[in-house]
Amino acid sequence: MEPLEPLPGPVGPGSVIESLLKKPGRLVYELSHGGRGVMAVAALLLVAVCGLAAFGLAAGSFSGGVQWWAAPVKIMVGTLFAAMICLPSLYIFVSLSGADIRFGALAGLLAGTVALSALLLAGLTPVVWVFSQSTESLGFMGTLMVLAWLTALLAGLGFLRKGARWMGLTRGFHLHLWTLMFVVVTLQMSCALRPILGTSVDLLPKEKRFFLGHWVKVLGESAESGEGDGERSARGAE
Amino acid sequence: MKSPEGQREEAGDVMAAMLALPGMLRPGGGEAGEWIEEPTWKRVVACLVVIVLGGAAFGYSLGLWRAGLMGGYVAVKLPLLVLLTLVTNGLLNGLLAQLLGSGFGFRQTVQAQLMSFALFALITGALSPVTAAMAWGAPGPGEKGGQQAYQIILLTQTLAIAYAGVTSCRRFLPLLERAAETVLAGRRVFFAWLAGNLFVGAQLSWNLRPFFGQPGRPVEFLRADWNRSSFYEAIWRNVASLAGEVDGGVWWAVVGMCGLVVAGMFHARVKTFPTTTQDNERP
Repeated sequence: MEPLEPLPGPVGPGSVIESLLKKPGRLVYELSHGGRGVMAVAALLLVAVCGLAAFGLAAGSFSGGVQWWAAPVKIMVGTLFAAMICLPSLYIFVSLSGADIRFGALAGLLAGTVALSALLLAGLTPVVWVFSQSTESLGFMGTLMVLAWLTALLAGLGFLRKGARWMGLTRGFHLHLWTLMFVVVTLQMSCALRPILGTSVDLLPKEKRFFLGHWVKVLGESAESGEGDGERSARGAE
Repeated sequence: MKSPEGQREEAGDVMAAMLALPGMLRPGGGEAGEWIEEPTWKRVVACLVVIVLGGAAFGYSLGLWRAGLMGGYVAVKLPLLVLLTLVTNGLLNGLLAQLLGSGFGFRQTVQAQLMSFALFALITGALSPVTAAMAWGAPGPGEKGGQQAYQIILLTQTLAIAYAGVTSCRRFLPLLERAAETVLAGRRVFFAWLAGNLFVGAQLSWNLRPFFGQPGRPVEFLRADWNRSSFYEAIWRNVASLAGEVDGGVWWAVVGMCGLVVAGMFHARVKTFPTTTQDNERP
């Protein structure tokens, strides 16, 4: 395992990105031992916001119009809100897993998780954009976005697992359980803040739905329409 | 402003770099490791020139059977497809290279990606005189035997692309394993790049179609509906349509066979990949 050591030089977005990708142990050191934890968290949040905004723009480009700004805002707010409401349970679940981690350090680890996911989402932005300009199928784009989201999120959660192990986690079961919960919460958030891909008269939905039911409905409608013209403007579901 | 001598010297350096590229197809890999570790603009330019020339030559032969103009279009589109794939996946590939522990920075990632496509372009470019001659000598569209010629040319060129793709990957994987910090990291990065490039490349090639040019359709640079659907939706529709026509038992047999193939590949992967730290070290 990579040794824990402080970040060389000042803490900023550049140094935390490099650390997240190459030397996560340095970031974990700053979050757990160093006196620059707050700065590191601020830099991580900045990276997260920028990455999510970039991904949101690619999502917004599918429908255009109001979604140019609504999709990035919804993705940013939704993700940060999901992280915030899951933080207390993370603290409890990590404690159950045998680790003695300060709440602040754990918040930093979660910020790092979101930042790394956002970084990968930013990397996926050109890919998503290519598809958003190539297809009119809401079902296909929704599936692609969810796959991109899950890929990035699972990679980001790798940082949380590594960091928690560095900080003394011995048993992984409870953390895996929390991971599952966090993934479900973020997916539900995408449903609660819909439309993110399509368009709608209302900026937020009036009808409450569970995300699985919602996706089955969207995919069914997509298949029924035969992927015809105007699909991206026909429904404001995804 | 550089002197004419300086410009000639730099052009000579680029030419020398281009001439070093075929050496990377040999089992030893030639200067590949040095190229990845120390990317220079001359090496980048050399790769780009080879991609454009090799891609254009093979692209011309792809479209030639349909019409000379079609050949010209595809000569532009094939290098464009490679470059667009590189640009679209560039950031992601750079991030993955670092995240998967290869030790490559963004410049090294760009260099390595360009090298892999340059090797592919070298092979396809070298095959292009043969495929062009074949297209030139075959009965044209509308002539007697034209339909059969179309099918043979399509098959031959698909085989040429598959051969170039498989061979360049087989050559490039050991180069990447040697250049990365560990063998395992090199493999991970290789397969991550391959998956990403195939995924995006398939879609971009769908957007840029036609390449072969179907006999009954007009010669055009892009189809009118180039941005109306995705490659994967088309595959899905074809599979769904096939599922509707084929007997349910046959369908499930095909799905089962695919599952067995995937399971076999996974098993082979588990056996092939190093599992101990010692195996993981570079030789």
